[in-house]
Amino acid sequence: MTAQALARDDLGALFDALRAEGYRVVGPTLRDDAIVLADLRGPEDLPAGWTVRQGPGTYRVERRDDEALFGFAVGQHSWKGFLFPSRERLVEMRREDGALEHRPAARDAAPLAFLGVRGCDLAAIEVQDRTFMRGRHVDPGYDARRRAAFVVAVDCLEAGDLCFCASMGTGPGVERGFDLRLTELGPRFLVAVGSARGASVAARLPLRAAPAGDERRRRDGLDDARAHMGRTMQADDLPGLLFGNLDHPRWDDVAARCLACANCTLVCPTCFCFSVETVSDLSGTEARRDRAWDSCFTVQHGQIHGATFRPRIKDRYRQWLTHKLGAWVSQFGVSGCTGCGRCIAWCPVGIDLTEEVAAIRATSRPAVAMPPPPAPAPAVREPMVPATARVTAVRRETDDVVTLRIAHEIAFRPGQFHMLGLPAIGEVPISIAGGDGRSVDHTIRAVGAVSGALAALEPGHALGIRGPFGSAWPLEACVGRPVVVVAGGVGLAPLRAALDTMAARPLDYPSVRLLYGARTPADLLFTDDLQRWAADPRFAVRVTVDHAGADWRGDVGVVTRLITDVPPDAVALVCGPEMMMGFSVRALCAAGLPAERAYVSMERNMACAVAHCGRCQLGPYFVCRDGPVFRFDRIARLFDQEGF
Amino acid sequence: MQDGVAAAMESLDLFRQLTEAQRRSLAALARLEDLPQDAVLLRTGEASARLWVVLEGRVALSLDVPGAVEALLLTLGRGELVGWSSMLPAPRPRAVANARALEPARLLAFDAGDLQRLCEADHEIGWVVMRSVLAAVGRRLTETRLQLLDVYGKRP
Repeated sequence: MTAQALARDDLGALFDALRAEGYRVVGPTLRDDAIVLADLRGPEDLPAGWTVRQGPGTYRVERRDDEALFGFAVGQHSWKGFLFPSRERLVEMRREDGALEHRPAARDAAPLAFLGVRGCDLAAIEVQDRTFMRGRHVDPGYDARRRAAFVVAVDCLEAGDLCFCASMGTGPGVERGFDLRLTELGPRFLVAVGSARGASVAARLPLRAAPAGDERRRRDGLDDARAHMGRTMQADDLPGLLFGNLDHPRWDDVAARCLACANCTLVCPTCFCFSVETVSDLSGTEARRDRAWDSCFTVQHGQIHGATFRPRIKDRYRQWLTHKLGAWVSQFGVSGCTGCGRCIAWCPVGIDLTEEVAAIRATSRPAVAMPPPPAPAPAVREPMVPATARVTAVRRETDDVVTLRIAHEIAFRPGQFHMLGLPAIGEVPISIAGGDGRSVDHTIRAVGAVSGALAALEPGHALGIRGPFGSAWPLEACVGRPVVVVAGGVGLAPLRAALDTMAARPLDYPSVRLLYGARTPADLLFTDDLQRWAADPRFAVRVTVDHAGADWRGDVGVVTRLITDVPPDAVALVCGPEMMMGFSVRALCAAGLPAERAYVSMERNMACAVAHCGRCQLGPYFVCRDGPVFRFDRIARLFDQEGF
Repeated sequence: MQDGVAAAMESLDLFRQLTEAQRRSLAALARLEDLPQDAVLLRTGEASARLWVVLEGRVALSLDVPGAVEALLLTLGRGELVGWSSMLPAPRPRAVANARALEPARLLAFDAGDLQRLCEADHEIGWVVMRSVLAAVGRRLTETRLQLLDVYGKRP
């Protein structure tokens, strides 16, 4: 097929054709001294004759000496603002007369046509597709908007001052993933069709055969752009390199400049972290959950009930860069950077990630191996809409801990968790402490607003439940081996279903040792279960507390004191406060257990539980998706690393 | 009785570094003590004259808190030392905790004066004994620090 061209003067026909096919056209326009993305009426709204001059911390629009329509590099907006809006309603809830209803929020899926999508930005859309559409859980809003969107890509024949798409393999030309592609060649556009939808729109355009040599002019222009990239960055080895250099002095250096303002994450076309907020009317009858862009530079991003996992700016910058250029590959199979340069221009102090990477590389220690991305899994839709369930029984375990029995027919594996929520209050991850197929048990410690409200529920009350989510204790790997279970405090709850499974299968689990530590005798959970397990001749149950009165006949002292005589072929399941797990695994390993047979259950901030909100990151992993149960050797490096 | 002492010493990791002859010298100073439940080994304010090694049963260390119930600090089991402060140079400090048998217990008891004299006279034995005492004290210190962290407490 011969190349086709559209005269610049006929560009209005493209707008007409897109509208005729039902699209709303959005694209670049000059507004407030910047080229932004907005609704376009026609070619007259495009920034004809404008370009931008950029540097670290600098962005200025300038007149060109021609009237090019796409003669500028990307600005602060990206298409993520349309596909993953900065604020979006997820779930609507109604509670009235004891009845609780959850429903997905209404979505505006009016098809958009994106006019002027550059190579880096099309790559960025495909990066976000992996987060919201290609994992086990599909974000229905993103999915609908993305599938409906029509992409008119534009080649970059000029490179910007901060561009490095050539290094990242995302540009300057657009070779796939578009419906139509335009190459601006003075008085006309070279037009390429990339899809059936593109062909349908193209059929409405007054296209003509492109003059001979246009294809070569395109190639030459792309070569020229490639040769004049404002920045370069060697990226292929960055995951292992950055994670092998978590203690590099450059992190302190960049932290001294970084303001933790979050600009880089907001302008980044691939950053996807969000927070979930619960909003309700005054009566609490109508409530909803909204999501809003969040940033790993905020304190609350890494916070759970008072503890902050990334207290210093150094921790947060390192989290961002190691995620963007490193962990992303393990999580999604692709780098999170497309080389658009936005984060350099819009950083108020002009931090340039290509410079930071080069500085780390210059004096780096060896790279480390990184885990591969997970295999694609079947998709679950509407993962954020809870089911409604009712509490059937409440058992008080301690002063501030209760166990709720919730009528809910679900299959789960011991170690997994549910998101439990109340309409006007919020939602939190709670491990599953037991279940029989008709109901599930959740043991909840009242530490915050949501857990406090959940712990105050009474039989008959309704709540929202999502899940089960996450990884499970490796009960199959424990078959036939001695099992050492080390639990601390409420950490016994996520192990209870595993202990019950082992109690119910005597042939598979000939020897189970439970070592349980708590603060005081009054803080012990499941005392009747402890007695039941202790009565089983295959079980050895040892309980120790940190503080006790003279009437206590059990052990006193830290739980690690109970870790002695570990059988060499044992498997250890460990759950409790992170510090207690660290000391316990160290004691187990000192007693001869290899780290690959120790498993721990991790806790991080979670808003979605479906690997979309980005908050529960633990290096290359999401705690909600790859955890909460991890084989210890897989996270050992991060376990002792401050700021993760 | 001394046969029981020798067998007990042989079974403990604590004395594994010693030669047969050294172990015999130590055994000559030791005797077995069988205690009923709640028997007191050490009382707050007393200077301990003995060093014990727990063989069977458990021993509880507790603190008298004025105006409050007695607080259990630590329970000690097989192979652990009770009354290590008796091995400190004179004047021996007074015990800051009580030690009592939490259940019927069997212990290996050394007269601290005899033991210190043996360690002085035979530095080979002295080195092994003092290193064992130091290891026990060091472990106790680490565990106390972990207890101080109060990891199960509510975070702010």
